[in-house]
Amino acid sequence: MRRYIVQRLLSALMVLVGVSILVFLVLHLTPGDPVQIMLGPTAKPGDIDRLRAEFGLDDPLPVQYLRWVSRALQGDLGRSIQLNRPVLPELMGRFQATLILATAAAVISFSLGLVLGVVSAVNHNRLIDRLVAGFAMLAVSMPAFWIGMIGIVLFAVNLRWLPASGMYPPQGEPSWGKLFIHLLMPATTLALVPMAVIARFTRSQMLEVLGQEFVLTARAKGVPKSRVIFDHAFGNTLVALITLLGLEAGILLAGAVYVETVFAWPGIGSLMVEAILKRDFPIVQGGVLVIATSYVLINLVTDLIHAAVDPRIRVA
Amino acid sequence: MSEGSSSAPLLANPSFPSRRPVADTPFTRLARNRLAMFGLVVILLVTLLALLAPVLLITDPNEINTAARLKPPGTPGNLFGTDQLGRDILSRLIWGARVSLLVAVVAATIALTIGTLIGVIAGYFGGLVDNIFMRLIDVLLAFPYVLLAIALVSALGPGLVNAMIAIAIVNISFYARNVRSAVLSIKSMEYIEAARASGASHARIIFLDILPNIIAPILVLVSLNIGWMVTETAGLSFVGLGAQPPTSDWGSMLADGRRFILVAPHAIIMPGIAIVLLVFAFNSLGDGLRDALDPRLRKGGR
Repeated sequence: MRRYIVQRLLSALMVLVGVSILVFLVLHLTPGDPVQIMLGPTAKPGDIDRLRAEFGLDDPLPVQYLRWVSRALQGDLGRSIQLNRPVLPELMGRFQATLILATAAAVISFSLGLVLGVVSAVNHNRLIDRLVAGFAMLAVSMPAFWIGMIGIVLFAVNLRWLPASGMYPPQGEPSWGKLFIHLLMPATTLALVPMAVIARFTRSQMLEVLGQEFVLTARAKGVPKSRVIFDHAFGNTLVALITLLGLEAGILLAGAVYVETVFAWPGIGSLMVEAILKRDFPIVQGGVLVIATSYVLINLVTDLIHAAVDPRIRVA
Repeated sequence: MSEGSSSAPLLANPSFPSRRPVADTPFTRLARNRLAMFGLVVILLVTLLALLAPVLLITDPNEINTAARLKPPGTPGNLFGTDQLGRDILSRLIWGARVSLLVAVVAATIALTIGTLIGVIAGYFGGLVDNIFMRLIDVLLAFPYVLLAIALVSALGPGLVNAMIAIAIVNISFYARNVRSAVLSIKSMEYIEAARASGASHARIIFLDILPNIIAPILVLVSLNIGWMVTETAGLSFVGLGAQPPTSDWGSMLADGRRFILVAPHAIIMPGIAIVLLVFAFNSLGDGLRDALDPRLRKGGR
């Protein structure tokens, strides 16, 4: 186990180095000189050169990269051009809102996805199985930003049950209740695709386990069907589901970009879209770095949990 | 992997000698899959409409008619209604289909070509080459898909072509990984070893012995992937990073309609249905193809 942990940590570290190089290079791919953008079109060439030297933009790329990484490690991701504030605190405030949204969506998608998957597997090839399969197929075909808007038309505009946007009402004290009401629609929208993925995965895992010999043996010994389903099949499925956690995190973090835009949720995704349109590169660069890093860490933790639960992983 | 491994083939049952066995080829399996056939028909129809857009007798998609703004569906002359500038939504959908399909197909072709190349080289040669390529792919995979596309578009600048390039790059890892594992699964087979023993060059083995034998899984990958690309193109356009006016695709139609969601929900419902229909079609065809080409996975779900 220790060897596996060390191996996995090293590979995560390597990936993070690669990620940082890529993020750094992408900014350098940008057409246009950052100093030029900062000073605007009326800048004098002399000022541009002086500022370039001051920022160290004349140094060789590897030197610039190392300087950027060492600053980033100290929590300095530069200043936002638009807001003229340090990037990191700005990102962290927004990231918190994204985490709230993503966590709520994860809870919804896992609980409903598991139920749908188990019901499907137990009723294999019956009507309900087909209905769930159809729903899952439809759910992965619907863009989140569209279904979110349909939700707004239905539940906010016509029925007036739920607020259409934001995290809290514009006026009044924030409270858990208000947060919950505002969270309901965006979180459900974000949960649809992962819910479908989990339902399909759970179904096929359950069916695979239910078709194995030890299940047959258990049934032949007279173990009741419900116990076989829950103790044998469901338990094994849960372990396999751990592998989906990383994938789920990716879907949620990425989907948040669209869902946040539609529902004006003050998260990191909507911040980044605004920043790109305003060409505020430090925010974009920092945001990509923060999200990718947390994604790598989530995958690392997932793999370690999986290895702890399932001994076959560490041996292989 | 599969659940029905115990079911023996009943088709060749010797107790019915007079009956000719029903053909069980990938093609007949696909043809029997109603959902996949539905998908195929929808894809063909949308493609046909998109190709024929210039000769169809439909209104100019960019013709502004301020007198007829946001007319509901069913209005005479505007079957699907009009948008905030009085432009005909049906006509814009048909012209938008050209953009959406073109972007998805071109992006898929680019990603498929580069990804397959990487996957084949990594899988075939193995060792150090494989290691280097796969570590690079790992870095690409460290970004949630949409995020990497957004980062790339931000570097290249908003626009349809850049969005297409970004979507293509993001999907290279998808093809590379899947093609690599397909290559690994046939690399050690006897006919490949025989080819090598008889002195065939690496290039010859790759192009004549390996590639033709992994076309089936690649086909499945493409059809499952194109649907995702249609959604993704629409998404980038929706947030303003894809199609820029006057060009419009289904995503930018949604972005336009979003501002009038209170008074004219049809302006977002129609383009949305178009996207869902086309993506659903690609997904069901992809699922059908996978089941038809790889019977081991049949009915397995993913």
